[in-house]
Amino acid sequence: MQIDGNKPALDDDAFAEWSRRLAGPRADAHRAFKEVFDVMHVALISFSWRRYTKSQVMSQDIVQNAMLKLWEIRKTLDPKRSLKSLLYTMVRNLSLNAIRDRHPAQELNPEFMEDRVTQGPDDELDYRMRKQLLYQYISELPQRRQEAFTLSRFEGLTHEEIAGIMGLTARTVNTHITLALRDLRARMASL
Amino acid sequence: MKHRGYNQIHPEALADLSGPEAQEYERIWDMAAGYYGAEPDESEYRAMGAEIWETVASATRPRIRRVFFSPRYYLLAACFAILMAVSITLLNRSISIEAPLGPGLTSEVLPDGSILAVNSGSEVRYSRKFGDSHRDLILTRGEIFFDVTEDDVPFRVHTGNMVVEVHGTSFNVRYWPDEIDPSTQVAVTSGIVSVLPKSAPENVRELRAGESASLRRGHNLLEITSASPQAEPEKPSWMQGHFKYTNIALGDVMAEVERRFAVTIDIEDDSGDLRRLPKGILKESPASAEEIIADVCAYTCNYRRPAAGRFVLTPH
Repeated sequence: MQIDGNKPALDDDAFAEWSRRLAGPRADAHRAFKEVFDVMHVALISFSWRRYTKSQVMSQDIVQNAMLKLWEIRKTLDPKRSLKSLLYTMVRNLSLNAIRDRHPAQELNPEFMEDRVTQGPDDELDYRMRKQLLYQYISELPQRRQEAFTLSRFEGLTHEEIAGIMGLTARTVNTHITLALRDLRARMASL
Repeated sequence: MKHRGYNQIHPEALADLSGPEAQEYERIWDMAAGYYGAEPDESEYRAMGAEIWETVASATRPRIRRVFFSPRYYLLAACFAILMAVSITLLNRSISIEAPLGPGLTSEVLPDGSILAVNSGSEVRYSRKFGDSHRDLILTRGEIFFDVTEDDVPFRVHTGNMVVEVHGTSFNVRYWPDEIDPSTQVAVTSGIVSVLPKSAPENVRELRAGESASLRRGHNLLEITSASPQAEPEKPSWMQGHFKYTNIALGDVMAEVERRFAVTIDIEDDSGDLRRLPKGILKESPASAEEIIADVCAYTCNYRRPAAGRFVLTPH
C-alpha cells in the first residue's frame, strides 16, 4: 500500500542503507550513526517526552541509552528490518521502564485538562470543552488502540512502521486506528 | 523530518467510509491536535539532542584517526605489531599468566605439569627456564591454587613478603598488595608445604594438609591456623564459585567483588572508617555483585547503582 499521506521525507531505503553501514567498518559506521542521530533525535526525544515521561531529563536519558544500545548492537542489524521502528521500539521500552520505576510521588497527571476554560464566547467555549472531552476519550481508549492511534496521529509514522514497533501487521494497525476513530466519533456524537 | 504539526490521516483507515463520514473522522483527527498539551518546541528538543550527542559521541567515537584506515596503514601496523611481539618475546624472559576480571576460572598447566587455578584479576610470573633448573614463581598480586607435580626440584612461590616451598602438593596462596592490611595467606589442601617470611627466613614453618598460615606485610612472625581434626581439607571456596571471607576489611571485600564480577565500586567516605570496617561474609555461588553488596551493607552502609556495572557505597 504505497498511497501514504504520512510518507516521511526519508524513505525506508535510507534507513536500510544506514543499517548496512552501521554493521560495517567502525569509522564509517560512526558517520552513519551520527547521521541517524541527526535525523531522528528530535522525533525520538519528543516521542518519549510527550507520550511517556513529560520530563526533559528522563527523555534525554532514554534517547541517550537507546542510541548507545544501537551502537552496541550495530553488528547484528538486519537491513531488511526497519531501523526506524527499532529506534522507536527501544525508546518506547526504555520509557515504559523509566516511568514504571519512577517514584509514585513524581507521577505526573496527564495534561489534557490543563487549558481549562474559564471564559469566552459560547461557541468557542463549547468547542474547547468538546476538545477537552475528546482528549479524555483518547486517554480512555483501549491501550493498544490508543497506542496505534497516537503513533499515527502524533509521531507521523506509517502503518508499516507502527506495525514494526508494536509487533503487529500493518493490517492490524489499520484496524486499531479505524476502531479508535470509530470509538471517538461515537462518544463525541453522543454528547 | 517533521515531528509535530499536521500528520495526515492514513487513507487506508478511511477506506470503507463514505464521504461525509470520512470528513467527520478527519475532524476528530484534527481536533486531537492538543492532546499532549504544551510541549518543548523544536529548538528546545534540538538543544536536548546536542547534549545527548556529546555523551553518546564520547562513548562511541572511533579511537583511531581516519588517516590510519587505509589498507597501507593496516599493513604497516601489522608489521609493527609483529616486530614488537617478536622483540618482546626475545627481550623479556619472564612469562606472565593473568586472569581476566569477572566470573569464570582461569587455569593453566605449567611446563612441569603443575596446574594453576588463577582467581579473577590475579597475576603470576615465571622465567622462561621454569622447569629445567628451577621451579620458582612470583605471585605479583592475587590468589592462586596450586596443584604441584612431584619433583626433586623445589617448587617455590614468592610473594611480596613470603616464600612458599613444596615438592608435590596442592595449596592456595593469596596476596593482594593493594589491600588495607596486606598479608600473604597460604592454605594447604594436600601434602606438606614450607613457608618462610622473606625478612626472617629462620622462622620457617611446615604446613600440613588443612593448616594455613598468614603473614602480614612488614611482619616477621607467621600466624598459623591448625587443621580442625574432623574437617576434610578442601579446595578454596573461590574455586567453587563461593564468596567466603572472615575478618576482612569492607574495602577489601569490595575490591574482591570488583574483580570477581568485573564491576566498579566507589566507596564515598572521607573518614575511611567504612573502608576499614571488619566484615565476614559467606555466600554460596552468588549470582551478582549486588547480592554480596546488599548483604555486606546491611545496617552499615547504603548503596546505589548509578549505572550498570557501577555501585556507590555511602555510610549509613
